[in-house]
Amino acid sequence: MRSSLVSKSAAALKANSQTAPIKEKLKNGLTVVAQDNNGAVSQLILAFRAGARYQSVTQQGLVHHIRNFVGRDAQSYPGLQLVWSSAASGAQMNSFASRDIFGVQISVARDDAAYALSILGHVASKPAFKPWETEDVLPTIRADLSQKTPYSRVFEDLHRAAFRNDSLSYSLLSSKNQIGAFKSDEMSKFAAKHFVSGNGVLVGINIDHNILKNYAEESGTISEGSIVMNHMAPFRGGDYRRFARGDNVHIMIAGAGAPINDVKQRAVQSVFLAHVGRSSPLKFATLPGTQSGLGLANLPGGVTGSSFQAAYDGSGLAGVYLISPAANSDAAVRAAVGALRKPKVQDIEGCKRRAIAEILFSSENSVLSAYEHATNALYKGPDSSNDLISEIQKVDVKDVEKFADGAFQRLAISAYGNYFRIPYSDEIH
Amino acid sequence: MALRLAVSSALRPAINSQVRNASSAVSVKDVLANAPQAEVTTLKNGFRVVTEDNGTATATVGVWIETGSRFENEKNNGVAHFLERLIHKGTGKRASAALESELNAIGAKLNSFTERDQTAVFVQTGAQDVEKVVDILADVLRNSKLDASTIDSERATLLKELDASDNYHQLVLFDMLHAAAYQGTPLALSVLGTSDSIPAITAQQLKEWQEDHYRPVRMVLSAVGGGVSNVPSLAEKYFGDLSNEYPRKVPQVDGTRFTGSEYRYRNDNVPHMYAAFAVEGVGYAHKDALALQIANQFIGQWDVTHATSRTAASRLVQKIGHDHGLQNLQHFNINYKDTGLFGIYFVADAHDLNDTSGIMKSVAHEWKHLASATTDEEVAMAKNQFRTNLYQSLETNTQKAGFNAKELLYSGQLRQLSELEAQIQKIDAGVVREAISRHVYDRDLAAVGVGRTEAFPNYAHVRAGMSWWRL
Repeated sequence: MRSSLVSKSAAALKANSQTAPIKEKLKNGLTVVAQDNNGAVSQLILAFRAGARYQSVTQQGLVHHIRNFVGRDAQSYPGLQLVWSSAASGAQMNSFASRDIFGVQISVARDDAAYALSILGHVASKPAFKPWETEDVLPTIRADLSQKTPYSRVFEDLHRAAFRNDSLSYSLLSSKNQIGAFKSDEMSKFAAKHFVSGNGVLVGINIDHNILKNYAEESGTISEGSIVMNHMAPFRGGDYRRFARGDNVHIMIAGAGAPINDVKQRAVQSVFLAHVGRSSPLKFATLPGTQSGLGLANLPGGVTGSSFQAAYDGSGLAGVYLISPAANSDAAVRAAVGALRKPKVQDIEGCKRRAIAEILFSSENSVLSAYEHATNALYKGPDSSNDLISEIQKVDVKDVEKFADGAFQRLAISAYGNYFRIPYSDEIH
Repeated sequence: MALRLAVSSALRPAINSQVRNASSAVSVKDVLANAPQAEVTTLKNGFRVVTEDNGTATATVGVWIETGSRFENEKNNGVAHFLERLIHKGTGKRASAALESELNAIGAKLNSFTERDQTAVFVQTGAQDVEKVVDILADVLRNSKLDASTIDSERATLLKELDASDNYHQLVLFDMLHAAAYQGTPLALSVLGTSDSIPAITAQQLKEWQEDHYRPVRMVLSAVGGGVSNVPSLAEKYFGDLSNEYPRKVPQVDGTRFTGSEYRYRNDNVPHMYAAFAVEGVGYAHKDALALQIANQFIGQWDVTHATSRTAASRLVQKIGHDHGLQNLQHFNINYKDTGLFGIYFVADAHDLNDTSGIMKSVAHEWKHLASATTDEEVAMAKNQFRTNLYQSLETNTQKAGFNAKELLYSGQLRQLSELEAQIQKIDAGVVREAISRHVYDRDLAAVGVGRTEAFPNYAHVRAGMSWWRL
């Protein structure tokens, strides 16, 4: 279930027959993306190239601290006033961070979108990081850590295995030891460098493009500044295991996935994953679906599996997520790797239809669409889902086989649970 | 209190100076007035069809049926949900594998759920495949293959899931809340059934349930998305011949009765106390239903991962988000056709009776404030938050199809969203005060706790706090 969410959020774009998104880069460097689907609720995002990969090696956990500071004082307004003002207009505000981007998202009835924008600018780009607020923020970081699921642990560890010492391996979450390690000054410096117009994007769904543009051009809230480049983090592969008591083990196996800006490769990858890890179209059915690559791979008893993908700037991950009884985990991993490396695609049209349907279903949700627009705009991804869908329509079986051949030569494997039977990636030939 | 008022008086002007062009923006009212309208068609046999063609590339088509566990008794408890699961296991025309292949070929998904008073079976699909989907829906609903081996294998899965469901404390808590609040009536029964009832359900009972409940006057076919404008004629083709004859008696719900009561399940191996306190709310179409929905928004939802607590936009959260061991707080307002539950659900460390009692004292204080002193300014804020939640929750085709169907099943009428918006705008502080006074103030509560309930708030104290004059 969780893996399908990841796959959706990474691959989905807004596809709407009524309107196409308008994307524009302003003179101050800020990118603006607007799409009006005539919905009643506007979704607004102000995001920057400032995700976990932009931390230095000594700053791991910094972005998590910054994310949890959202809602506190900004440089010009008290946090209490910003939060109450936003809530009074019915807005819901969330901060978020991926490895590539950091941002704040607001949902608000469209009547108040312009007003909410003015709050968004201050909240997202002008945090004050007042030292005395830290004691209120730290408990929320501890609370985040206490909410980790086996899936989130194994997903974070997969990045450690795949990207080794490079910046994409840095976790979205602070480690316990780092809580409180960052002083106000360090956070302020990070914000001053990254939360600037040339490094950001303002996305609005169900809002007039001119309102968005006028705010971005004239409010003066977002400081001017230039783009911040990241250090590339190529897929290297490897293993990362974490013990947890119990008879089962959660496993993720990934190869080198498509980066955000490679639309053709992302299209092929979507079709490949629709083949490998497709769930049954029926509820109450086995997972994976009986007609999927994993379903046909003779997974041992008690093993469930699904596919996932995560696209980043310059790199990506694509693969499968398994939950297996520890005793069967060796056979489960080997069977899954077989399905990844040698896909036997018999219904390419069905896989394409499913891949397109997943994109379209998730694009009905305007929050997900807004996230996708933000990431794609900052890293040259496809402007609209139609670009991705037309590429999917061109995919054939050979493309899928070629993708599998290249992507899974080297593997990254992470495990959480009783991992003692899981083969190491260099033992699987 | 002073802090909150100081802030609210300084709200808009401070930040609004940067807003340009706001006046030229299209409003929610305009958007809803021009949105695609839902249209209702009734077939000769009483089968209702509601369609809303929004021209998008996808569609959700499904059938919502008035059935569920409130029509069951202790012996056949779980039969509605059991039957819903078997709908996915193939028909006389399509074996399960063929059904799967057919849906896979068009990239569609068949989904379903059962609640206390409804079962929904729906398909998400591309706009071009709507007819095929109506055909599949009619087939699975009318010709399910209820063969013995499939039933036995599904029964085994169901029993396993029933066993595992004990670990879902929130689910257990809400089942217990219904068991306490509606004790002695069918609404007390769990949707999942019990480990006594599930093994005893026979193929014959499942077949009879289908014959008795899947009747045209109890069903609504709801379709939202692109390519759905011809669904009424497809409904005629695939459901028009469905008969309204009942081989046995017409299913009826026995009367409802809310009982103020307490139900605790203490298990110290659970790390927290899960608690819910509710008064009897109202039915879906009751005149106070919308006012209670907006009142529900006053407390809203909060948990420890929220970045705001001392700055939270809720007086209650500011007050109890710290120092009470609170992990999670969720106000709820459940509407059935003829009754409802209005209350608070929370998860707390519950190390100390003072902490848990403090939580309920503050919640009851908010309820009393709503009944006697809430202001138009507060109600305006709650209304805005309610609108954001509401319209956002009706954004996808599936969500809107469910809303349209529920309107028809529960009230026999269908409100367009523009009408709903007008109703929301009419609600002011007076309406909320009256609704809360009628249904919440000084009312008996159903109180339930799961887990570490040693520090469960004392019932008599909480009940006494439901009115000013008792304090």
